[in-house]
Amino acid sequence: MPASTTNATCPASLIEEAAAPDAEGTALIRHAAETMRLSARGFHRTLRVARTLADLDGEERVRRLHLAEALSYRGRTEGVAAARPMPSPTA
Amino acid sequence: MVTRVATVAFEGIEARAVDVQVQIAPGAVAFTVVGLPDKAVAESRERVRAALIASGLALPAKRITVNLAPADLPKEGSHYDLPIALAVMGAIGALPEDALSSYCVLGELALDGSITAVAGVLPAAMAANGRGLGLICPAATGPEAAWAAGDMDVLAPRSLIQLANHFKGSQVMARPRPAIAAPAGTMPDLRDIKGQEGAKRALEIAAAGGHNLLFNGPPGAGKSMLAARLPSILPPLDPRELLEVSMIQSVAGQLKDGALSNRRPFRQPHHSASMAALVGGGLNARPGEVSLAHGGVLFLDELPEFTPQVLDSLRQPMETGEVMIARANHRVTYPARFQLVAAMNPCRCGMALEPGYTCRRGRTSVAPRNTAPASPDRSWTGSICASKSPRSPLSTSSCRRRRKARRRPPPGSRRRGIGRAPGLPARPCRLPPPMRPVRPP
Repeated sequence: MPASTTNATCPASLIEEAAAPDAEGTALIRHAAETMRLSARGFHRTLRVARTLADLDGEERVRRLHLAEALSYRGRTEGVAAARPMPSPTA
Repeated sequence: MVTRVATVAFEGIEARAVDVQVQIAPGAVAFTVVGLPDKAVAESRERVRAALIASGLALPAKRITVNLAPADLPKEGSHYDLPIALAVMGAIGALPEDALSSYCVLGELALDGSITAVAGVLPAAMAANGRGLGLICPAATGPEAAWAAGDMDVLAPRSLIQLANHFKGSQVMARPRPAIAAPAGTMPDLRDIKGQEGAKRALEIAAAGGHNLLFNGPPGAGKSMLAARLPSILPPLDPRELLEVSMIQSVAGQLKDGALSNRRPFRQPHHSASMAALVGGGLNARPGEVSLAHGGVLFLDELPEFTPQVLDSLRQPMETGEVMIARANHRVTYPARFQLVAAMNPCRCGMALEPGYTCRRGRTSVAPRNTAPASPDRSWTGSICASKSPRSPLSTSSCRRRRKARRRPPPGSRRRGIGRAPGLPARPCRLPPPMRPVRPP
């Protein structure tokens, strides 16, 4: 891989390996993927940001708090909208 | 007897070899250029004629034919003047032909015989070095060409006479020296921003991982200021990136005095930019803003003001890291691996995301009441939505109305919907139906 690859441009299979979270983190991202209806691309996106957050903290392994922060950036209203039932359109 | 001079044609940032062949034959006096020249190349006849006369030579009263081989590749650009002139000078005996055979030549001629700068000298120098040739280029672009290889022979004359004297041996030119651009003043600093710690953290994350970033908030929150300060925390370009960025800048004619810079590019197009300006194309298939931002940041301020087609055209470069411009005869590919930063207001009055507020004016309606407020700081209540993927630059605030604000907007107010953001889930954006104009009876 070229030396100037960043987390954002990393191929998906590689980021899954590099950003494999610990047990708690895996549970969180699984739960979030169902509640927030994450697509596969959304899942990889969250992993990329979580990997950057772990790198900024100097940690080898991606932990639950990194994943939590990455998920929090994922469109504050978009995430909420996905989780909430839609009101009737006659507003 | 045919005199040949090597030159290049540009396809993207690649320089393809082109052979300039000149034949002087008896016949009706004419000076023709063949080989699919475009208008600028066809006009080079006049410039070459005038430059030769200004340099003390005259075109012989014979039939001069110039062929730009390969004959089916359209020739564009004004850099064919100098190779044509040198080939003609070689054919009439004013320059030694064997000297010309070891150089690749490009440059534009002025009517007084001086040589004007052209774009794309750095890729041409790299291509010439790959073919084992030296380079003759305009004096202003000499420092750029000198970067291609340390031992390559580079001549950067200011005029035809100077070049002729060099070959005669009476005024030998020195090799130009590679130049680095002096850093243009200090970059804007993050310490100018007071507070906004959450936004600064998002900026750090984006800088560290190369992620894309969207700032969504009320006017005056500092979104544009923050985005402008991203380049100051990005690392400098590494050598491979520096080469690619410099080649793109060279082809776009943006290398001032041929000096390279290792600062990451920061491009900020106005929202009235057309698709060709943003993605590339137009005359000579020029690189667009996305290619000029390669290795750096593309900042789109007032994101909803950009036309939806233009925003959609960003999808492919963001996904693949390159943009392919298709022309009738050939395809040109420019690299376009950039980081997208965007800023927007959630609605017309800018207060849509503030908790407990009803926005009645806006394009997007407000978020539901129990969304957690984004910041503890009362003076800034916008939210930062950091998008993690190349495919979804926008995460819009939800388009649902509050339960209390069930009023329709006053009739006659104009409403524009935001173009569908690429990558959004397929949920309809619940904007009110467009108002139909009332027909007079």
